Amino acid sequence: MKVLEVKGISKSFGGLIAVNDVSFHVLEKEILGVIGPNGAGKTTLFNLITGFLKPDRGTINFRGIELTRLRPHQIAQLGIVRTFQLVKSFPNMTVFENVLISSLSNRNIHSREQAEKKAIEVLKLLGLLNLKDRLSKNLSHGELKRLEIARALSMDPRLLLLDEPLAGLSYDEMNDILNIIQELRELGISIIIIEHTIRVLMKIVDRVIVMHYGKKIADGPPEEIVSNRKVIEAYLGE
Amino acid sequence: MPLLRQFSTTYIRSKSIIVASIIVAVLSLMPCFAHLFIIRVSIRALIYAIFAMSWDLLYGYAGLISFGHALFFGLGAYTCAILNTLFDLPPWGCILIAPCISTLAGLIISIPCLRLKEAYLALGTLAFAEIVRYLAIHFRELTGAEEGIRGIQVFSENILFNYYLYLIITLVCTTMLLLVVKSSFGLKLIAIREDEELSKACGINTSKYKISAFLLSSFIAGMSGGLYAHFTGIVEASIFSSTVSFMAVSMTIIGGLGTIIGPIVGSYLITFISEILRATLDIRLLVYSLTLVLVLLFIPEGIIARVRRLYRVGREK
Amino acid sequence: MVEMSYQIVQVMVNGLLQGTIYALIASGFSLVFGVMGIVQLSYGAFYMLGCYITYLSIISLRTFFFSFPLVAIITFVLVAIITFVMGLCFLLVIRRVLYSLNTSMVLTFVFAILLEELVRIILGPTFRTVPRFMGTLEVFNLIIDLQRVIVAMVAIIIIIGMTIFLSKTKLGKAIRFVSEDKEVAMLMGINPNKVYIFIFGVSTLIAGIAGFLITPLVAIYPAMGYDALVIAFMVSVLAGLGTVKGCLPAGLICGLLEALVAYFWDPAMRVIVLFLVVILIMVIRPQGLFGKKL
Repeated sequence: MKVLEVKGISKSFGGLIAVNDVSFHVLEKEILGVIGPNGAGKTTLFNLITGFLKPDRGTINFRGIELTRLRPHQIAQLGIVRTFQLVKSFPNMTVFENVLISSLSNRNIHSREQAEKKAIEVLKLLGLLNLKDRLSKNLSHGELKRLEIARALSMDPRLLLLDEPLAGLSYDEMNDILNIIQELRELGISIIIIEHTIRVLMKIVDRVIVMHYGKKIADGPPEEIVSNRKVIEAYLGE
Repeated sequence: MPLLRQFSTTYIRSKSIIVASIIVAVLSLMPCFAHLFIIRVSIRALIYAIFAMSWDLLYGYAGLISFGHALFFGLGAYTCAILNTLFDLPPWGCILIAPCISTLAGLIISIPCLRLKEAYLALGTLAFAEIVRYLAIHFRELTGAEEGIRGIQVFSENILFNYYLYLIITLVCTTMLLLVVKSSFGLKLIAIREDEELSKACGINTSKYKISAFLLSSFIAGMSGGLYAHFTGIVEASIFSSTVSFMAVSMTIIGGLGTIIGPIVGSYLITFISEILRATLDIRLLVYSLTLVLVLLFIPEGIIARVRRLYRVGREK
Repeated sequence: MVEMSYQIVQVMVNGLLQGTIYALIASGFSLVFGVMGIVQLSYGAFYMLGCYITYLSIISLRTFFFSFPLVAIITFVLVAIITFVMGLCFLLVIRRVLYSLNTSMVLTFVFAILLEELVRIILGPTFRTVPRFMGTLEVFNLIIDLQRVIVAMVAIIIIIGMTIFLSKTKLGKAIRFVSEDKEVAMLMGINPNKVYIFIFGVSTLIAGIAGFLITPLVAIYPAMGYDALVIAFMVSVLAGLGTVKGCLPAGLICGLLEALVAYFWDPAMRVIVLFLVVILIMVIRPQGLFGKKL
């Protein structure tokens, strides 16, 4: 079943075409990778899906709901949650409060007690419970990355958009995150991952789309993509 | 979660309750030993404390910097002045209507202000206040132009009655604001201040919360303006000036931004210093700006925050 | 009917002349924002200082019976040096809060209040005037105030001079590099701190000179710094915070608009109209007419 259906999405800024007529879909419980050279339009695509940018053309459909008319917070509340390329948190709030903020906006949560319970649950899952009273500005990079995922989880996501979740992590930390991502898939969450460390990414994704200069130039299982001529040219030509 | 339900649960430390009780007791008993002058100055301090608290809510929590807060203060004051002198409405009636007018202004102003950031927001709000100041001077028949309106009724001829009335109102406002900022609503305001984009990604309707913050802040500021009118008996167009807006700013910064209590401390400090010096030379403004400069340079986090750090009271353990 | 149109032209001419001064006032404010990213709210105070220094200088030098041009030049130099140096001292004091835009706004504004109060206490709140040095001319039924014309010309020359300086000279280019990207400028061997110090001093200098120019035309009073700040801010926003050459057209537009509103509607409304225009610009087109896209 298609959870997300993107059709003919385009966005340009002034004369620069950032995303050019991109179409793809994501299935339930699927992990989709998005790769491509820098500036290919990957993060712009995320911004378009999550409502931070309005597309010039095209439609984005999530389980029958048209997203292009919605504002970012509404899309988040629907269960489409994103993380950011440059990791973000609320620096002067504690880890617990960071997650609590999101759980308070969870569509399934109706009281503060529920929200707090959810926050604790999620922190436990991500191994952050012992840090819960630390201000997030005092966390290490790896801990911040986990916090981001905790935050996203507390919103009961159905579709998770992770923008470079492995950037700047050690090998062990990367494996931890990858394991978590696979566990999330088991919970029924569809996941789209933008990444640069392709070798690691290919281990867990079901399918990959490749972007180059705003266009989608390939779409298929990892084995296919790795040997695709156009993809190799795109990366080498860089 | 629906907006109103978010005010239901809040968290206040027991240590703070003890300190607060002591302070309230002191303030309540003070008139028994104090000179009339001190009681009068205290009442002024309470009025400005409420005004400053409303500014703290907006900036210290939601991160919205307003340099034109005198707009709401002045609107509240003028509403009371006009209703009282022109329509003979008793003070009790005026004080109920005044905050509604200032809140309306808050609503009107908050909408364009959603799109302004930082410096533009600060100066844009200043511009709004200036516009109203000019309008106040312009509509002579209604507002008495530069001379303003005089002869506004006080709540009571008995100064003690006025003191306790204003004290109770201040305590009510303080308690209300504390409940607000420690609730889920307050937490979201802080989130918006910390990172607005991230807040949106966390499902927070930032526009709704920013407007709500404006509405609450302008309500309280308007009320303090009404209290001012019914105490001093006079309002002039200068009540909209940037100097008045700056009182809220400086009292909050000196006392401590983002604390709600800080503005009260700042207000008492500045009001007392100003009034004591008023007797000698008219160098009040000079002294108070000098104080502010020194505080900004050496205790930028404000008095309350410095005190808290000394006693290591805080969220992080 | 013909007389009416002469009146309108008169109003417009005066408005444009006034606008050149607005442009000059705004240019220094816009410059310091463009290069350093701070909103210098004590800018008006330096303008006011320029006025008072001019006043004091002219009043005292006149008693020595110097010829007028000499007095003017000495005063000019005096104003320039004092405002520049005071600007640098001021920068030294506020350096530590410059990292935070909001704190620096508050601090600079308070300094402005401080300065205004000091002047008010020391020199008194009453209006002061300096005797006029030039008369008026009547041309085609229009009364042209020669003093205004000279002031306007000087203002325009200064602005054009600044624009040329910024675009053509080495130092000017260095300044532009620093305002674009501090790190790249450092890589090129430019010391951004020196540029900041220089620019800050220049902006207070411009404020002072604008004050110098306006003193023969109006009565001066301590609170005029605040009024000038408001003008500086409004015109800068209209032009686009950061651009110097944009200040000239923006200033002219504001001067013209203000004069026309005062004539056709109500003098009291002119400030309100200007404010509304500025708020509109901030909401609809925050980069102003000529600024870079934010």
